[in-house]
Amino acid sequence: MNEEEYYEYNCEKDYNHLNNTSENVCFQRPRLRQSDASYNLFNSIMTGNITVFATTTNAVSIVVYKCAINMCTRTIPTTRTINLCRMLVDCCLSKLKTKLCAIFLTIIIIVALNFSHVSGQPVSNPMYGGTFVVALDGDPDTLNPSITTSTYPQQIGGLMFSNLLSYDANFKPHPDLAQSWDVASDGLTYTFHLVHNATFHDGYPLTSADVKFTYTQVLPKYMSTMVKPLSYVSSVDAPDNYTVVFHLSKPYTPLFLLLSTPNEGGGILPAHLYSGTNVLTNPNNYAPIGTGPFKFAEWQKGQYVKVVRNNNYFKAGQPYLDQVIFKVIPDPTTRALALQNGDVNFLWFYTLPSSEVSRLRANPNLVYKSLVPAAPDEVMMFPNERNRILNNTDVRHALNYAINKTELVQKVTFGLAKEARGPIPSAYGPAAFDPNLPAPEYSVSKANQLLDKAGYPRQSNGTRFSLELTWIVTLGEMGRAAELIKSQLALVGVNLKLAPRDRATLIDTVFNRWNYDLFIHSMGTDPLPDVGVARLYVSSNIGHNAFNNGAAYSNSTIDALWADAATTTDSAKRTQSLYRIQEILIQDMPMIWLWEVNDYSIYTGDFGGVDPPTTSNGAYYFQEVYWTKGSNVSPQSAMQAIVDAQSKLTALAKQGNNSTAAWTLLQQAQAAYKSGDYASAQRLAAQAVQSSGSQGSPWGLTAGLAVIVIAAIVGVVLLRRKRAQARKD
Amino acid sequence: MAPHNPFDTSATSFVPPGSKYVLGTDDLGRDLLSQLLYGVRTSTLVGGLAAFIGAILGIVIGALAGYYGSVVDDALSRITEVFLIIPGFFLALLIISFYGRSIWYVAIVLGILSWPQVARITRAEFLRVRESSFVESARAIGASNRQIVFKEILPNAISPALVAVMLQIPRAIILEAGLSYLGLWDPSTVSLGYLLYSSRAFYYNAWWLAIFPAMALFVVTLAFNLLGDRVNEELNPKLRNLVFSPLRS
Repeated sequence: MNEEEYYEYNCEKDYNHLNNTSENVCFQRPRLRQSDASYNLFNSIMTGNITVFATTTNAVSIVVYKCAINMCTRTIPTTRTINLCRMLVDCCLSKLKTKLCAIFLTIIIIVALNFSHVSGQPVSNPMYGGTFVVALDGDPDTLNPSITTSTYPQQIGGLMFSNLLSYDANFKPHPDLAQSWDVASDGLTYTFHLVHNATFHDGYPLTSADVKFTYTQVLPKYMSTMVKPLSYVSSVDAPDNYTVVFHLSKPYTPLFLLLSTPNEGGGILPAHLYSGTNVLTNPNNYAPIGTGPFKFAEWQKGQYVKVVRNNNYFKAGQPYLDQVIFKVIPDPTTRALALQNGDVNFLWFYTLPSSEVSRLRANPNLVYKSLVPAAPDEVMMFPNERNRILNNTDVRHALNYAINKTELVQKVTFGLAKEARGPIPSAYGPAAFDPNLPAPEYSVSKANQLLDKAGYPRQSNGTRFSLELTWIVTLGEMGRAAELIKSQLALVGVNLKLAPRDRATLIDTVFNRWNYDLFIHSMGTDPLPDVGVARLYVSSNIGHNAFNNGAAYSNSTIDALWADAATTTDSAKRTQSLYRIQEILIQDMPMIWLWEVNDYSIYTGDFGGVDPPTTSNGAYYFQEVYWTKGSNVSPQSAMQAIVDAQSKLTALAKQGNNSTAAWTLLQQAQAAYKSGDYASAQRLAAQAVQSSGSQGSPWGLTAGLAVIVIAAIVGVVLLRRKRAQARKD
Repeated sequence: MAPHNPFDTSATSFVPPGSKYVLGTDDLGRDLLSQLLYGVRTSTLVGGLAAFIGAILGIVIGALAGYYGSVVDDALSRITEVFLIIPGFFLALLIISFYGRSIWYVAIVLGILSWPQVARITRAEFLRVRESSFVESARAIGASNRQIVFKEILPNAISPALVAVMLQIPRAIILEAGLSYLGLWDPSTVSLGYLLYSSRAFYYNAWWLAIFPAMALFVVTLAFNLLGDRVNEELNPKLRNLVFSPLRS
């Protein structure tokens, strides 16, 4: 990947609500610097390596060189260490100038002694082990990510299932279950080559049959985001066990961007457990068997869901955590306190009220991350076009002018969100979001003018008309926004009656009976504008489906443009259509866009690898999270060491050389493995082999000691010589 | 009386108590003192209305039961008992979630829930007074039922019932606050319970949002309780002359 691009994408303006300044926040910056530096370091070491061994056979120079490598590969590559390494390597090359080398050897020894002080933290290599606790506000309804777009099944199920591809922040596909793929030039045939080593948690190998089953029997029927995209797929073929071919009836570009679990593409389900059953009621939905990095362990309803490491995960070396526990804590204040106490390791914008952020952010034990905008979710107000007053475009524009979005962002989201610009959230980037859209304008006078023009003069009591504003009562943020909007609209003479409803009643009122004036809600626009955004505006979606075009907006130009955008294979044309859609929608104002949902997370500082989701339905994935206090040794290699030791001891025992001490050590190693201390397990296994009298010594330690001793001797010898010379002189 | 419009959000959020905003501002920049004053008004209104409805229903039903006795008494007493065993709070929850959020519903529901106590007391008083000699005399000189009830019995039986009604007011206020605290409030009005409910998320940011409404609630209920005691003292001749009565008799 182009590092430059990556770097730029991740630098976003972050509105600092505390002092109203904006600052650049780049999440990948430290990592990039590190990789950049490591690259330099690697280069200088490699050149050194080749030259040293090619040009000189001098033992001392090789020792110096090895010290250099030792030192350089174990510290955080900073400019200082890189320069030091370069100098060391140069020293080796410069025909061993004794004086210089004496100085460097002294430096090496000093550095080696003060190792931890000089280098600060160790390189943030993923460590193995640990339990990661995530708090949820309620039980998930299922754990199967292929039958619902609901966040918790996506998040928890996403750890237990995999899909064909994964995507980075730029929607660039990366291999997952598909190790490689080809797309025919006409955009009608996609061929995926599956990995050969993926197995389900029950031991069955994953084959093309499972993929075919999922994409023909499950996703097109039950996964709402996939129904439309998969309607373009005429057939799915499985020519052999590890090849899957998708045939499309006509080109549909967005499909290729949906074939991953985080993008709400579902997970590949085991055909041997699902075929011939009712997918929605299959018991496997509550105790899943998948191919993901974690295995299902336990679900105590109303308390927690526990998943544990899958040691047979097809990506070698992953995952890092021993287990992830999703703990149900209904009260938001209690969740924040649990994070503060360390009982919970991770909260994100779904589970952490924005009012708590500034306080927790100040806590030195917690890490705050935010990506604005990251989740392509928008809070918007639906004006019902069946209402005589709201059917007037001028009135909708007037409401838009009268609502102060900056104040909403400041007071309702505590400055953690960003004002919305239009129907497509800016998180989609310039490929879909038109950066030249005008910023929303707040103007009471313009609103008043438009309302006068629309024929609603102020009556004697100062109001023009009354409207009812509804929202789902459990969404506290919406309620606070509604109260604020009520006071803002009062300034232009619009009287709002606030009528919160519970979720079921609201869906019935708004989307079934269409009996509402204004409705405010946070709408996910994921996974792609063609699916998440289009559903609200295309006229074919006027109907009784919840969270669709309930406002009854209809514009044939818009319908045609959405169709163009989805079926063109030319990305420039697609962008053009999407830009045009935004322009028209902003003129028509079928929706009043308020703010883009912010994405923030706070987690305890002893974990690493927590990255904000790149394409978000608000679900975080913890595949690459690791515990910084864990061990360097992977459980697989520790287990390997134990197995090796066991076989060696057994072999020795057969030769009559049975050592009880060795067997005790081996048992200790097994105990350590069970308790998750993989480093000790490996060490104990090695000790067991050693104490059994067989070959094998901790040569690394010996070699390291030898290097230091030799270096010291050489240094002393050189110094003595120098002194002797000085005396002679 | 309120220094600001309680719905005006123009101030900064979370201004601590000070000179401009005496009790500070809330998360949306509304003045807490103004909200409190309106909240006390709403709570009193709801409490008063509930008590009034309870009083009318309770006194009428209690009077009927107590005066007529026999079958009427049996029937009405059983109805009263049925209402007494209904868990009031949950009935209120149910009715509000069915019929929508409005302080009028809350008041009516609380009124309907509070009449049984009043009815029982009224009935007992009626039973007692009905047998007294002056009622007998009135009946003997051929007074009509209406005359007996309104002229003879009611004035003598109503004082304990009025005291019970007065004590229903703080109870209704507390119930209303409880309902609001569960989120079943009418968002177009300010009430003490709702202020407490919305302060929940900001305990750490703004202590004043929780402390002052809670204190106001405490003071208002205490005030109505003391008022009830006072009414009791005034209406009950034995208590009114408590200091002198032992000497006199």
